Amino acid sequence: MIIFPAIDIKNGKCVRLVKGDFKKMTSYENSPIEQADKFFQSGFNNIHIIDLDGALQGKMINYDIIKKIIQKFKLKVQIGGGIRTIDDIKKWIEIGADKIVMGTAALENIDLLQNACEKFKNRIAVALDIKDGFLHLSGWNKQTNISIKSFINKIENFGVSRIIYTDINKDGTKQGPNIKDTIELSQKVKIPFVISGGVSSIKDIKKIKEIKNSNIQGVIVGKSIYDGDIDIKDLVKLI
Amino acid sequence: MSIAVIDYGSGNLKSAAKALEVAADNISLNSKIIVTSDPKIIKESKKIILPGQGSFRDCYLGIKKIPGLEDALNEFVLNKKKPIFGICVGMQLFAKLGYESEETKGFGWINGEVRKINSINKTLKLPHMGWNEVKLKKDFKFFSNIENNSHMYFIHSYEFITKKKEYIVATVNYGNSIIAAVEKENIFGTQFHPEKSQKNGLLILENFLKWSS
Repeated sequence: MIIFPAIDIKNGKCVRLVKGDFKKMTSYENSPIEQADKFFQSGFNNIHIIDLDGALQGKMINYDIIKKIIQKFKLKVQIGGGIRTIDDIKKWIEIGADKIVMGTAALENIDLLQNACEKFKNRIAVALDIKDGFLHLSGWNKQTNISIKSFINKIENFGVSRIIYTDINKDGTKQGPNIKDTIELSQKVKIPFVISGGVSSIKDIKKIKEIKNSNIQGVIVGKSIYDGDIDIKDLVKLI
Repeated sequence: MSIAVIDYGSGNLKSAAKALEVAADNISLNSKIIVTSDPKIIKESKKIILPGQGSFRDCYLGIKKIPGLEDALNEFVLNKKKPIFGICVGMQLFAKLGYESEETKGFGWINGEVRKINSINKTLKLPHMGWNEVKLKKDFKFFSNIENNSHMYFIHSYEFITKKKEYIVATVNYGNSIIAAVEKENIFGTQFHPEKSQKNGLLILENFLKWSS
């Protein structure tokens, strides 16, 4: 299973949000580059980076910092936040990002998503933020009336490399992800799932790892690491 | 006097001890090869082999867990200045600091650190595993009869890094140049596994066993 330690970046700093709310933001001491080095040295091979300024403004604000991380470490970087055009995707692919995460842009413009998947085979991930079965948009500030199931049906044959599934009710609350529902849903879909949001303990991750034939490809872990609820030396053993 | 293979729960002992026995036999050496964690036996040994498998952290903590072992090794290496041969993580433990899993102190016998292999080439997989050519950096006693660019067997994701070039006796290329062997006075180590490197590996073990200061 892939474990993605997360780095969320705002104004050049590592931060975490609670339920995607920018008013409930914690900043952390380490710079994103120091943090990436720490994850890399500890033994992780993948990281998940979100440019929160980008997600809010639809522009790549922390590009230079993230570029440094991609180029400095032998890490597979999954990058998201503010990626809205084919040119944006190209910019990340060219400097060596592994997977490009589309969220808002994919929901607002499904043709763009299809086009991107054709152009950049196996490089596009779709981030779906879910609240009570419905999709959310743009730094989680906008609600939609699109149900998760109908959306996945539409994109299933595009060639999306993975779906990053975030239960907003759980994200940053460390209450344990909605594992059962997520797994059930994932089993009905061909695209592999990555669970994000609210993983709160090593137990949660072990539980996810133990499920056989679950179509869960990995887990993204953020706040619990920064707050010390999950010890990275235990986490790295589950890779 | 015997040759001690240090047993601290890291595994990979049998193949190391077996290869040593073969090497000793090849040169008709009468020393006994003993696999042990007993500080007393270690102190009385002529030479020691420090194998290592797993993470830097687990290995060092494994040594610390055995009462008297860390002290016995320091005494053997620093005060008595008797020969030690570290293999793979055993060699990495010579460093001051390792970063695998979590920052962990090592023996600090050689000024260096152990960091994850960070090649710019993202297509090269980790661990660095299999046979690779070793470049000998200088004429060195334990490499006598070993040809430059001989193949040795590697399996590791972390590398020994030191600024002191004089300690580097061999390198290997895996995207970047990586240290394949270090030496400092009585201290010697290889990142590759001589016990898994067939004839060339045996030659190095023989050279180590033969050598008398």
